[in-house]
Amino acid sequence: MIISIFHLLLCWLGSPLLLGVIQRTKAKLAGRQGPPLLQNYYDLWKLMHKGAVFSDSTTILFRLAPGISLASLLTASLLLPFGQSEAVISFAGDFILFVALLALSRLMMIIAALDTGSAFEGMGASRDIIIAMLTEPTLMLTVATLANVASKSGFSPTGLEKEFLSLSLFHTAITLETWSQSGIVLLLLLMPLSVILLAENARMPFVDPSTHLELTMVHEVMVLDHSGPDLGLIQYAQMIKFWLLGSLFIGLSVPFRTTVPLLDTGIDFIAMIGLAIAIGIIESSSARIRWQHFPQLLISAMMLALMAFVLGLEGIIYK
Amino acid sequence: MISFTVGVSLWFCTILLMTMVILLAKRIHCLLMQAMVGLWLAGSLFILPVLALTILTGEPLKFSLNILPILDLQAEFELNPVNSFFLLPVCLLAPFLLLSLVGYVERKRFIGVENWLILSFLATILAILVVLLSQNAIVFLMAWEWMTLSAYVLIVLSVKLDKEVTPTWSFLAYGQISGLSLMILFLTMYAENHSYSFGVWHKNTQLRAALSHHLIYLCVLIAFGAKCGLFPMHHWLPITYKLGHGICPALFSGIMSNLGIYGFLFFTTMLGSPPSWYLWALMILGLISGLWGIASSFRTTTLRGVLSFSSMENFGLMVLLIGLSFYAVEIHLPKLQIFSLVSLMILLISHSVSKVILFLGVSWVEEQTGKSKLDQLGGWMKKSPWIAGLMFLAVINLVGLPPFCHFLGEYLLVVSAFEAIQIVSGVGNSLLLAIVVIMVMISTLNSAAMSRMFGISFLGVDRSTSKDSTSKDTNSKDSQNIEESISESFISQYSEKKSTIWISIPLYFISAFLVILSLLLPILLNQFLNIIYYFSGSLVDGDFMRILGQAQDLLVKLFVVNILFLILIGIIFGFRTWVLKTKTIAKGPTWDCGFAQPEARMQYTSGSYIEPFSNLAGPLIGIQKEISPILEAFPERKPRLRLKYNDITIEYMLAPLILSLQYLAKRAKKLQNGRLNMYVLYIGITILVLLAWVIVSN
Amino acid sequence: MNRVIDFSLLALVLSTIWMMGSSRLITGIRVLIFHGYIFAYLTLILGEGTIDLRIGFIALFNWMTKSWLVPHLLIRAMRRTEIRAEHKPILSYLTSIVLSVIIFSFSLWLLAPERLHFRQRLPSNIFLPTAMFLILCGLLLIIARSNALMQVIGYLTLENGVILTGLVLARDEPLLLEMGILIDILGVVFIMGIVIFHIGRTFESIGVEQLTLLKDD
Repeated sequence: MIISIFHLLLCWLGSPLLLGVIQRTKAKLAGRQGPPLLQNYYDLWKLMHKGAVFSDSTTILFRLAPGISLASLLTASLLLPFGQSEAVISFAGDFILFVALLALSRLMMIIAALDTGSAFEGMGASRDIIIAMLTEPTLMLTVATLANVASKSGFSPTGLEKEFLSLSLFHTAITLETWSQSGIVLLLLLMPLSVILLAENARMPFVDPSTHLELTMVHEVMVLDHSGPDLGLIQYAQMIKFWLLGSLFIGLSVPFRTTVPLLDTGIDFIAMIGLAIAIGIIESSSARIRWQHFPQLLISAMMLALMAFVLGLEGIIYK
Repeated sequence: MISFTVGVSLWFCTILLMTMVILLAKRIHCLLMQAMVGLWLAGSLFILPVLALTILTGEPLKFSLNILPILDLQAEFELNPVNSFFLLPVCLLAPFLLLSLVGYVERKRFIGVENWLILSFLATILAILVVLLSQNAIVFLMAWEWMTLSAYVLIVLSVKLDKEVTPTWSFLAYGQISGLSLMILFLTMYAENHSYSFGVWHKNTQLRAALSHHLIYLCVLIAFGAKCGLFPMHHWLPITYKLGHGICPALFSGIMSNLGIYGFLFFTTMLGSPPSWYLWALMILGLISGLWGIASSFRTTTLRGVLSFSSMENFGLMVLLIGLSFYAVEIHLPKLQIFSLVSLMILLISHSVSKVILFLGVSWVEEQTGKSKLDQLGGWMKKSPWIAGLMFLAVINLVGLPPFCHFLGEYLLVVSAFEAIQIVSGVGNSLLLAIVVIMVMISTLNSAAMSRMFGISFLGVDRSTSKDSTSKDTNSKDSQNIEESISESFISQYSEKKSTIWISIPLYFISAFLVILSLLLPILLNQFLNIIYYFSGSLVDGDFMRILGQAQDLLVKLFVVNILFLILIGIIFGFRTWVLKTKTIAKGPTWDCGFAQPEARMQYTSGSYIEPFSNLAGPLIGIQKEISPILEAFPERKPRLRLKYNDITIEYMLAPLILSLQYLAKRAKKLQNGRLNMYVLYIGITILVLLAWVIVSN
Repeated sequence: MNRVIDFSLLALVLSTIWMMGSSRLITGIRVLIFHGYIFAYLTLILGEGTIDLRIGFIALFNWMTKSWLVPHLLIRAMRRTEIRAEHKPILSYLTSIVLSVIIFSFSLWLLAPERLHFRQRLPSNIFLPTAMFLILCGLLLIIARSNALMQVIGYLTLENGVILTGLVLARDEPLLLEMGILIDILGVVFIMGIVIFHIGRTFESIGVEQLTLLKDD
């Protein structure tokens, strides 16, 4: 339990660092010095000390949205297993709550964007919702496949009832043994999961976070009118979201478990940093795909997840 | 026991009394009307403890009346936990609806029809009560017809007051289809049992001929499917919900269509041993109407349109849950059965409550502006933050997001389906996976549809201001000008603001009920035990309690997370206010990347908001984009973009029967088209079918 | 051993799906080259450790035709007609991808091990489904694309499926037969390449809709 709370704190405090790692990697690859690793912390600190400007056309929802969005992501982080231990709260089907909390956070940001009455933010909202439409079923399919793999692996972690499928159960059930049993299915799952990771966090092949052309943005364009502490809350929420989806990815792809809890935490944390570096490399080496090609890529990811599910059913798992 | 009888009969007496009074009074005095509404409210409050007691104790209360002494028709009634549960929304919501109806009538000051309007409302409610309570086929059928007719009268009268639209026959037609199939069902059952009593039918479930067994279930499917807008029978829903005052759709969606769900539950339990095709039809049609309903809402451009399709989606899900719960009995999964029943109850009550809130709010907006299209509204959140804010709560609830109770229902459905995937194999497995995936799709589509409805019409800037600025030939001196015009329109609308108390009081009460329900549902779940027990008589008591305990555990954990969520929100807002306390908070126009002021015309419209989706799935759901091509470098004609919405199901499913033969002939002719690719396709299909046939038949 | 075979089969499936979703001809050709490598590899390892001269020769010949000769011819045809991509597919790429995954699930369901009764155990549960998938995807490509070169690619994919079936079901088929099939393919592609080149030069398009103009009247 204590180590779970430690992981929670790690998530809440460490997530700005990951974004810093991405920025640093991109800068290094472009031959620049880049901002210091802790730059995001300074930014948040600075934003918290600023005043705010609110548009005349906005209502109370605009002021509420960043806080609710952040609160729902923080609540989602309570459900997230990390390292060796399970999450702070885990119960059957907590992944449904996890997905719903992500959806709530997104919906609040969309509502805030529409509240400004701005054309750009309307565009961002309309794009964000279609991305959500195409990624959430994929996420559910991925989880369904994981449930299959976890229940077929014959592995019952201690302290968790096997009939209750939860994120923590999946996390602890994915070991080297599971990988050797059903590695093909899991490998197939990593592809849609990485697409979800990049699309939901609005990273590079989908959205270019560093450009200042509004027409190419999704998340950034939705927050054009937020300022001061609200903007800080939103940025922090985005970092938390990156951590949430990133650690799902890491939980699936890094199955190494030792008997020392802190060592596992360390391994997973290093893997998270590795993921951030990988994303930095992807961002500096790839071009943004055209908006028209978004659905094709996302639906392909959905189809891959479906394939993984079907393969998992049809006994490609070795005993 | 005696107190129950007295209570129920007293309530009936109140309603009858009110009916009489309304009939007698030529022109209703305001005071008299208020007194009547007060009487009704008192009656409802009186009946609520009776319902609650029935649900808690689980003892059915039976009484019978000799209605037609000549025919010796003994009309039996029964108040059991199930129909008490279905009576709950009626007793809770109908008084508030009546309250706003009275307010509406008084505001408009119609002469002549107001008595009839209120009378038809009361008659509808009374018919609903009789349908729910009756245990006799003839009384049931009579009340069913009576309900359809009085609801139709209510629409017609209400439409007559507006004098804008003509009433439609589709509601009546579908109502009659429903009544007709009920009649066939009852006659068939009478031929089998020589009795009209449901109790007798329930006892003789084994003695039925196979043919009539299938026939009666087909009749059940059509009768109640038509009532709650199941997929191929949903066309009346969006058409009817557009008519009349907003109270009519609130009544239909929040109270009346629930009877379809009740009918499915009650008749499937009573008639016993449902055939498996019927269960599969319920599940698949439910899934389709869920998905189709919510996807179709992108085709509508009115507030009511979106809400009506959302109703279709929710009723689809409920029908799915009914099918699933009986299917679970067939495949011996008690957990799936109980979870889906609990989920059904949660969805039903939460849908009723939030639909009534939304339709009342919409009716208020329509009354204030006279506009109902999404693209003509905008900025209503600023003009009346409270009503719009309450509607926002209902929207979040309907999308199925925590911490509201709709989410709890969907959660229980998905989690039980998920666990069943691991156990069931074969076709059932694919079905359960489809349920899980489609549920997620429905929920994301729902968030798109609802954010579209709420965001376009309630947020942003009022779109009606943009017309003025364009017609005034905008030399637009500066942003100041537009700002002035906005505030002018603001004032003008505020000055003619009417009394909102008739809308706001019901809204406050119902929203409070929604919030309380969402928060306390996990704790209250055990009180619903008797309702679920009614359907799962085949289970061992220990099993039943254990599974219900599991559901309770899960909901309590969700409750804990919800509380943590609310605490986190509190902390963050405390922090935010503390941080902002000493800082300057400025006000300005929307920044919008340098455009000085977001003119209302620049905002995203209902069409453009879902443009990415309609690009992707437009042909599937009937959204066509027409663009006039730009041919020369400096086109003289302005390029035009037009979105065409057409209902595919009307086009393809309701096409006249006479034309279908011709259509088939045309199709057959098309096979011979002289295109190489198509011929290879035929070869491919033939080989595939042959291969599948050979392998499967072996 | 099983895992390696499964993995190669999955690579076949994924690369075919990639081909279905791509408009460029060169992608299709590259996927075919990749298929050739996998086939050669599968031929080698399906011998279960005993690599004799015959199997080695078949693998080599497989690789030569599928990864070298045929793609070479195709690329040459593509260069000479100067048509690099499919412009107006009859089915959109997205639909093709969705359809191909449906086809894959269907073949998995249809050819599930408990449904088939073979005397010998197959090396992998997804061997026959993959073969059927390749055949059906080849058909789908021929149906869904209007570019003649793309149709040739579809035909070759179909042929690959047939060969995959042969690999597992008729493990001891005569060398002569195997080579006969491969030479057949070679001949077909050779002729098609020439024909397509000439059609492309005459009609400035290799869309099969326009082939109706070739009829005599």
